[in-house]
Amino acid sequence: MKSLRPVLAFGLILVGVTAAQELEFSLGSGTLGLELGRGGFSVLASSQAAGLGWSRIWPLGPVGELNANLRAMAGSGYWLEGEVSAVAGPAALAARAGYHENQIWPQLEHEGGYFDGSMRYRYAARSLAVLEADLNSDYQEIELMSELRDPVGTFRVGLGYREAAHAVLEAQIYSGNLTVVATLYPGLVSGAALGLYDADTRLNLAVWPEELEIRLERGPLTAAVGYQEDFWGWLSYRFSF
Amino acid sequence: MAKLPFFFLTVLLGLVLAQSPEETLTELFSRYSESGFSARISGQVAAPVGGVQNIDLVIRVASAEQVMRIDFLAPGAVADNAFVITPDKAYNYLFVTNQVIESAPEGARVEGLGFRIQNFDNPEDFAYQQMSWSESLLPDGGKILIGEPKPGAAPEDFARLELELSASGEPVAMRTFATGNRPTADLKISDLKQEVFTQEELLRFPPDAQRIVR
Repeated sequence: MKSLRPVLAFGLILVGVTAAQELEFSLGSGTLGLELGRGGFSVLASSQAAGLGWSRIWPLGPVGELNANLRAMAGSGYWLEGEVSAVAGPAALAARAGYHENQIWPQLEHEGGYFDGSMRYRYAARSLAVLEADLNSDYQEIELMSELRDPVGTFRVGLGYREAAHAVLEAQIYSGNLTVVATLYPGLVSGAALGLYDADTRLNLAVWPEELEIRLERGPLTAAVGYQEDFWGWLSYRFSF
Repeated sequence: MAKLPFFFLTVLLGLVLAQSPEETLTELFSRYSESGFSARISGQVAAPVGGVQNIDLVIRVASAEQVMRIDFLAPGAVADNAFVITPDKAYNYLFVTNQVIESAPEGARVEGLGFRIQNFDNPEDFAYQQMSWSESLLPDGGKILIGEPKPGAAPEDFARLELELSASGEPVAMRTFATGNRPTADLKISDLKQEVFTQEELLRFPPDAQRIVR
């Protein structure tokens, strides 16, 4: 069995933009991150790179807001990323694009340019139309789905394309505060994901051909282990103050 | 004997007239604040950007824990959203992004409608200390309580609140007016009932919703 491969955790950069002030410690190869001040410049630091971030939220009249984030880091390779998300009444848009000089598994999975985005529109009671795209140097995937979010659960059906057309079937069943998630992508690969959520804890298990991920989130603690070409794992703890 | 019904009518009318608007409000507060209540509110409000918009919402209150939840059914821009305010926090659930935004309760903004919830922590103080009340009787036995803000006590551009009560004393409609007698809300109150809720019930969102703290 191969040893656990240390990885660099960029959790701070991915989640910290919504907190006013946040300090995160991550273990893998060892990461210390710090972001201060929402709606302005922030300092991002890790054991392998350092850089600057900038974020701002603009209100969109009374019905929504526009959120923009830019990040630039340099050290062992460089990474540039821009992100915008907007909510306006029944519609929401999110888009992220960037360039990673190096792959840093699992947080920065693909080297080179990448883009992912989604459009969501509430077209009827408890119902959404969802368009998602994920484009990178390894693959290009696009999915169009209808999502019904009901008190008993969330259900998705749709069609997608990734090298070939596939169907999307996903069901999340809520039982009190517990949620069971099952995702199937018939026509693409025979993979499945299972999630157990309660009020404080999220446990996700994803199984794909030659891929496995187990992720546990409890409050500020996140732990993940998995396998893709090699074993990997990381642990992070976030302090908000 | 033939005068007896008239006698009773006189006594009943006297009792009704003897009850001041403040006493009627006190009776309403005590009826619904001991346990909690739920109600559906629908009608038209002045839109923040001008014009009017239809709203339809369900309000639920846990009085003892001072928690209020509003579930929006209309307008479409905010339908399926929810807003919860507690003494410590305000929560906005955005359906379209499946996010719960937590913020401080002071000046909490209802996402999508652009108004702020104020005075919920002490509605009786708002009603008694910041408003002066009069009433108008209706032919069907109901009445309208008319509240006007005391000088400097209310938000700008708020001139009058009218609460219509049925003959049995239940609130059935509410209207608000801005300066110049401009109507800002004309709302029907239905399905009003005493109901006991827990804070946990009113703070229930989809378990997979993303939490954002602001």
